[in-house]
Amino acid sequence: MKLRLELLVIFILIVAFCFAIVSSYNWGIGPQLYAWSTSLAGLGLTSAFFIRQVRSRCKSEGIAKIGIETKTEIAKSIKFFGWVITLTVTIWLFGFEVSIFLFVLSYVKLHRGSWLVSITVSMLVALTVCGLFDKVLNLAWVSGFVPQIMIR
Amino acid sequence: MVEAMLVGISNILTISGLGLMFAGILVGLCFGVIPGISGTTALVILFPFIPLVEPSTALLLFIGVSAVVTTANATTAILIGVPGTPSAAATIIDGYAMARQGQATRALGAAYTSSVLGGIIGTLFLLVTITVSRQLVMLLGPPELLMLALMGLSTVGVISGRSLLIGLALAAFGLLLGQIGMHPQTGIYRWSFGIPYLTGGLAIQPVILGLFGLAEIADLAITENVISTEIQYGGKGIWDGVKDTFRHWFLVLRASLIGVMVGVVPGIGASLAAWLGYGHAAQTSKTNQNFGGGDVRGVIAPEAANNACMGGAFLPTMAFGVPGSSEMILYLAAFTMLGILPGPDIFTKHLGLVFTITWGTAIASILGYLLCMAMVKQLAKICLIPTRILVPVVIAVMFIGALRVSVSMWDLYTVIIFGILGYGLKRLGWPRPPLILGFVLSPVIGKYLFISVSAYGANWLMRPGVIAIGLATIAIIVYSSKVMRKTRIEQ
Repeated sequence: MKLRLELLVIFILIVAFCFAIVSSYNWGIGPQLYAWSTSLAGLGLTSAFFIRQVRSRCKSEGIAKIGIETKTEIAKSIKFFGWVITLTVTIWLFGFEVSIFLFVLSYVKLHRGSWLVSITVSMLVALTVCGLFDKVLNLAWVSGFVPQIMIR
Repeated sequence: MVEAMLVGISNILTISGLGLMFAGILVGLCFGVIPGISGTTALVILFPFIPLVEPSTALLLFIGVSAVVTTANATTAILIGVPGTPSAAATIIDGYAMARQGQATRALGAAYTSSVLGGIIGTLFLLVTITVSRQLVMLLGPPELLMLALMGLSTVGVISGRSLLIGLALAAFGLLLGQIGMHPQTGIYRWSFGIPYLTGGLAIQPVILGLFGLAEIADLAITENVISTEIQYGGKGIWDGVKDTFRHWFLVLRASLIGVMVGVVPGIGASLAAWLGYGHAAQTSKTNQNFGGGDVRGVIAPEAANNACMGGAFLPTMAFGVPGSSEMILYLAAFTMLGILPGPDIFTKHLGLVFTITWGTAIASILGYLLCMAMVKQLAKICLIPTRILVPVVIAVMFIGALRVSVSMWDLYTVIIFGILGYGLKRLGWPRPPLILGFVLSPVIGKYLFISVSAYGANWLMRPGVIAIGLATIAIIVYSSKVMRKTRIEQ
């Protein structure tokens, strides 16, 4: 997993630097000079790092043996970011206040929290959002797709 | 002069003066602790109250906020790895590592003490340079400012730790990310892909919240650990932090001067000051192998630097009417609202008010420090909260902070994208600070590079100031690489 993750990040960096070089071609001397100098430097450094890593891995342990990570850890990572992405989607759908309440409630409950703790914590967070930020400070929130349709 | 100093202090020592300052301090404490919500937001909210108060004391409300936000913002950076404001991001690296080792109170004690000392040194600088401020600021032209930014970039070598090559590559990636948005001089849109959110460039708050905050919380949730199983309670931990700060007094002084210098340059801000302070501490320490793993100097230097920045930022704001930071824009607006025109006149016609600001900053820093120190023990208990409760609450607070930038879903997308990237880098053991340093420095380098080349051609390289700063940069790089090599051999 570690090797694959390493390769993935290196690949993203190389693609980003190459894209930056190609896309800044018609920007004029000022912006292009800066974009090219940073991209070329980045591309060179990332490539040098990649070559060094491959060499050292081949010399020492062999690529196949490197960084085998358990499936549970990968699953846990996907699960965590799944929670965060789900929260973002619900905010887009139902608005901030409702989503935050539902997120805290479900997260605490589904991670072996008692109903009492789950409801207390989620209510406290929701009341802080609604009371302090919404009513007292009068800050604006993302209203959500569904409430907007219902208002129309 | 002495009369003006007395007028300044007498403006503060009134019931309304002290009351307003204390109200500002309380607001500043709250906003400093809430991740992602900067002091600027607090000032915006308090702005409507400015015309309602006596002009001589009205600014004390603002000063109370500004002086304390940069002290309180270290709290969550140390306790949960999420910075209260972007300027506390550098404190996470060693502060959070200390908290995970059960030294949260020591880290907080050191952070608050170095913050207040930084604030006082910044204020002293303001006091000393009030009369010569114009000449001082005029010494720095765009080429010198460009060289100072490059000097800041030279710290990447040290903050990359053992992964120098990838650290430099990530700094280049940060420089690239910092170019997103409209080019200020030519109006060209760079990698904004027609998305309105990106036309103004990536905002620093969601980037930092993702890269550090979400990544740390992800690590906590995935490994199912608590931040710390024990905390060094009682006065010992706190006082150890205070003693550490005074033991490293010379570092506090140097980091504060870096903060002041960054503050003097308009449009750079406290985030960069903190990173430069951190880099300087790592570069000049004879034993820097523990940096990144819970070295108290990694807490002291950025905190002193970001607090001292405010004293420096007042100079161009008052002397030229050029705001040194986003907060200073609001100060400028407040000056105008109170009928005070910034410029040379402020040092003759309103010298009493200048001293009110100066004394006010020092007194508010001390009062805020005492409040923070009184709360250390209670705050440190956050480290013991079970992960299942802490994780959703912190994510909620981070999202609140991120949404304050533009109330757009794109703020949240940015947090998630950089959260995934930050977690990936953390798992790989690759350094995240170079990326953020490149990102923070990028607009500054781009702007001054463009102006320097346009105005002077290649001759900008021959200016005495540029040569002096260039030589200083080379000397720092040579010295720090020697120290790093020596440390590696010893290890």
